[in-house]
Amino acid sequence: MKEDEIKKLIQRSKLETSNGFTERLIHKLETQPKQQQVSLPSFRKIMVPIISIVVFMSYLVYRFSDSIFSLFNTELNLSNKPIFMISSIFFLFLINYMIRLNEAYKKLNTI
Amino acid sequence: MDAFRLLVEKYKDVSLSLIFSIVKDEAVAEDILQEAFIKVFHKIDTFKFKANFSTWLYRIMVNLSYNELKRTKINQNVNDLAQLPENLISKEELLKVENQKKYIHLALKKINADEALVLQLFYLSEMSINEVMKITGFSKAKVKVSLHRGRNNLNFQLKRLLGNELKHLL
Repeated sequence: MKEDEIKKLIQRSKLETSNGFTERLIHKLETQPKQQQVSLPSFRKIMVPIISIVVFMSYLVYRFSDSIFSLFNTELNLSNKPIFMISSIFFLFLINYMIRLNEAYKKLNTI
Repeated sequence: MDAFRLLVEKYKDVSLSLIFSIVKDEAVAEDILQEAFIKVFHKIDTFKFKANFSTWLYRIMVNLSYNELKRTKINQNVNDLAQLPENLISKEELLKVENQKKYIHLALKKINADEALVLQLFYLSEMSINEVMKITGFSKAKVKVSLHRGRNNLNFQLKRLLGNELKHLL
């Protein structure tokens, strides 16, 4: 079969919507309550600062683990444990936030 | 709303054919079409005028159709030959436009969704290869291969359905 013949066949096979399709659609749009506009920041824009913070926190843990430094003439023994705990909690919080954000995006895309 | 009505009137039939090529069911295709237009209505402000409107619109239609296909796993291997009336394969019957459409749709139903979609986009919507790539997300090679295989498979299916009477269809 030649290409022209295929083209003619496919063009001849064009489907048509049922009667009143447009009217039903317009009616549905007019009667449907307005969807709430949900404005969320871009997932990628959120990911960059989150990763930066995690990397920075990891650096802090590595840098100040078991070290002593002075603050206002007071020597502080900065054990790695509290920093590690704080960074872990913060990290879990961020993961939770990311998951919730992703779910919100999925819901938006299914509207 | 009147502008949107014009838009629906302009694109509804081609869009329905595109969706049908993927989901292979006319009723399901019309439901998806309605859902797609509702989505377009609510998201029309996100359309960037850099792109062609039809490309943007068909991309939404195609995405929704593939999502529906994945969700429902529509059985594409239904034996459609059982739906055909008896003694249909005659020259006189085949000359009727409705019967011609029916056989072409049956052949398209038997073709892989990707191939049928590329055929419809290229020949019905008269999109270029690049536009087909944008709408489907396929690579250039895949579009060309799908087009080639689609043509061959459509020919094969029509021959299988109509035998020697195929010449009356052309």
